[in-house]
Amino acid sequence: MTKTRCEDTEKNETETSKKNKISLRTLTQLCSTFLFNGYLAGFTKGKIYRGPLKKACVPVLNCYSCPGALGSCPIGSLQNALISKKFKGLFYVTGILFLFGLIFGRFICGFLCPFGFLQDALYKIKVRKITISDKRDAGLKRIKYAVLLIFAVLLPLVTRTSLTLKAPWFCKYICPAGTAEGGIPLVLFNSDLRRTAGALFNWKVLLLVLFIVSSVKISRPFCKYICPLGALYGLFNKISLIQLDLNREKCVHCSRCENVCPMQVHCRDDINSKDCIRCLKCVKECPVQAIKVVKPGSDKTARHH
Amino acid sequence: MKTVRKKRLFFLFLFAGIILVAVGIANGDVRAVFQKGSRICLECIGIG
Repeated sequence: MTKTRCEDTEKNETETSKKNKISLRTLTQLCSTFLFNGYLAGFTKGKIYRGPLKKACVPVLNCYSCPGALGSCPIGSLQNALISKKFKGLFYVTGILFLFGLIFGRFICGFLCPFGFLQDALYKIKVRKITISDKRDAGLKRIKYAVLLIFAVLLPLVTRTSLTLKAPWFCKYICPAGTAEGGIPLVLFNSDLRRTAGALFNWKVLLLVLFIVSSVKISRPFCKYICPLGALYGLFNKISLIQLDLNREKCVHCSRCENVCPMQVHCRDDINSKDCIRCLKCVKECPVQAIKVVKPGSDKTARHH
Repeated sequence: MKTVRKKRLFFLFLFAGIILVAVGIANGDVRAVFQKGSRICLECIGIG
């Protein structure tokens, strides 16, 4: 009896210490957030980094107008290429997006994106969570493709010749990452910008607040339903270098993988779904180690699908 | 998706990606990205 109690206490302690330990993913997210926003002087001066690193696009949704940003945002650069006179920058940015998507897929969302990291942190706040039905979730997940197509591609392209409408539409009217990382710090530290902030800024702050509040209640709402970059990378998930494999013979149908998934992916239906952010929670959670990370195109990926 | 098709698509996009980046660099695209990234984008921060 005493022995069993001791074993139970030991087990509980191990579980608590496991929970308290910072996971490799959290550590990677933290490092990438600082790496992509490493120009700390920008925050005190209220100015942005203007060095040669800005020639490169970072793989994540990280506003290039963030005072700390060291690289350029791929979605911002794509829109600016589309609204420029001779589509300057389009080949380079599209090529970079292809390569990032091809190598990493949505692993970028799960391990590297600072805005994803913020949403993960917010979801850890212990309040009653909202459960969205699978049917509604599936419908909402389509919004991000519309955002990519309409706000990040079509509207910048169609309005490029108009003086009043020409704009990077997604950045201007939607992107909460730009407001959080660029808008708010710059308005706080730069008095000239503070004076010019008006209705548009208020709208963007309102959207940001909405995303922050919903991130506390829903897991990664921006990544799931809105992010155009995630939508694009998701298209590469099935062919990217990082692939997951579900061994159906080993699977005990406990649904733990699906319950733990932050993106509400039905792992047993499609383990390499377009929505999977490769957070690898399912791999950790599986009691029989039926889910594994495998090489792309290996026999294992072909065997079970 | 079949493994062979996956591999084909992978190499197709890899080839396309490399070509696009190379053409972009030769076309002066890097300069365009740098010019935009090195100035505060007022639209992006909700001011412009």
